[in-house]
Amino acid sequence: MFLCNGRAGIIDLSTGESSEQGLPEDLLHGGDALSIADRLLKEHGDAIVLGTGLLTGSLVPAACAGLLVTAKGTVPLLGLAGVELKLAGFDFLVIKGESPVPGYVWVRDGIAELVSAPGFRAMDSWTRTDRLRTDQGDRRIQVVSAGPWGDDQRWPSSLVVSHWMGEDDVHAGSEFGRRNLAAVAFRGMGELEVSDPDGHLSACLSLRAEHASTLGDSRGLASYWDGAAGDEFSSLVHRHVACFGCPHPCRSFLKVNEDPRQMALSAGEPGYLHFDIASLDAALASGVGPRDATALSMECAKAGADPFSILRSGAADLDSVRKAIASGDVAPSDRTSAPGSFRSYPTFDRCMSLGLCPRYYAKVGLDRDALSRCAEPALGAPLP
Amino acid sequence: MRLALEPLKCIACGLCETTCSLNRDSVLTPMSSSMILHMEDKADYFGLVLKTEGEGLVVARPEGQGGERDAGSSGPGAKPILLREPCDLCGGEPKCARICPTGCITVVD
Repeated sequence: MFLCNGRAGIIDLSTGESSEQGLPEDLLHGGDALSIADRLLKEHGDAIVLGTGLLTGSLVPAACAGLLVTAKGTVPLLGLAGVELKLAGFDFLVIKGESPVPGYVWVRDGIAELVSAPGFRAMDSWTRTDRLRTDQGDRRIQVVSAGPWGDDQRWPSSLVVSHWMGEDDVHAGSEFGRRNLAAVAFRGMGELEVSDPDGHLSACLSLRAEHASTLGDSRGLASYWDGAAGDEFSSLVHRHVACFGCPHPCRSFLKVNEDPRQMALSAGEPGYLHFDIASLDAALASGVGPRDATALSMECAKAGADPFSILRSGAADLDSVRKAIASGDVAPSDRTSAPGSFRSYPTFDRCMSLGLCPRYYAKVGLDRDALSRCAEPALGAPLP
Repeated sequence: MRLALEPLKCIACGLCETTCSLNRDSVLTPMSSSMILHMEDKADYFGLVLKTEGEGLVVARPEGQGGERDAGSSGPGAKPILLREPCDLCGGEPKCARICPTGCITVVD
């Protein structure tokens, strides 16, 4: 089955039992991952559904997106998370029930299992990500983690995807906490079949060349948000980082705990990978500059606390942010319509359904015919 | 002809290691690639490791060739690069160089 695995994994946290559910080709090749996730939610009742789009992991530009759907809404899974999930052997993963003790779901090679991890409850999201990678012996494992705020089911919590926040516009972290679910981790060691490899490669390169003519020079987050073009922000930039398959990255890593020009590996925590435009906008509006915004982003990410809500609640400096993280006394702010939030892009639903980055395609335009020219050689059939 | 790597141009998009497999196996997967993206995401440290016929392992570290890090594997869960096929330059038109969006990977004589 081209570009797909043809199955969903089901895991019941209450019992630890896992199973598989076949997904027919015509359903997956319909290119509507949001509808499939919604159907799985209805079929399995109270659940979390992770999934990937039809084009996730293909050579189509910015075909990086997976998704996580709860009753609260949809969270994009960007970076390398979407493609790793698909290569782990499932197009979708249904997580239902509540674990009797804290644990995480570990997915690889078409296997989904619940791993008991009572010690994770005492760890922040970064520590549990690092610990999980060490325990499973692979530093490329993608970890969707709740932090202490999610564990405690605080409403303005935020999921953390392999250390970074910015995708969870619906405060889904508390949904993990309700289930005693510390994290979902996956590593993709599978493969995706392609009908016409050379045709797919050539068509995707042509589309990328068309996009390049409208994108201009790549400047990391500054290509997507003017606030990143300032001198202080620029002076702290270490490198720009792409999600899978993206030629024009929106992620800029700012180093605040060592010289941004240092290229050798440091042992510590040198900074933060910024792409959360809504929170950075709120920081600048509160008078918090890029250096302090980086420090507070690190602390919020460890806690799994939504920085947008904290900043909107009146915190105007690093100390007040720290107090808010410690107290948990923060009213949630709706960030779904904040400029730069992923949910705010008009391309969101269509991109989520296909497995594409909504930010990239909001910039270059979502041209269905152009996408179909890329998809058809891979699928052996036109894009529906 | 060989591949030249400029690691500071790398943006860690992963296209090179995923596209490599298209040439031999007509599938997309990083697991059989002759190129590995080595990444320590929390430290924002990443570079490339290429297995070649003539030069053995070419390790493109962002700090240059003087680094001490072992960057030859993406972890025990993945297939170590020493067990993989060396780069065959795709028979003359390397796909990784074609797909690389930044010019990090180029073909030189």
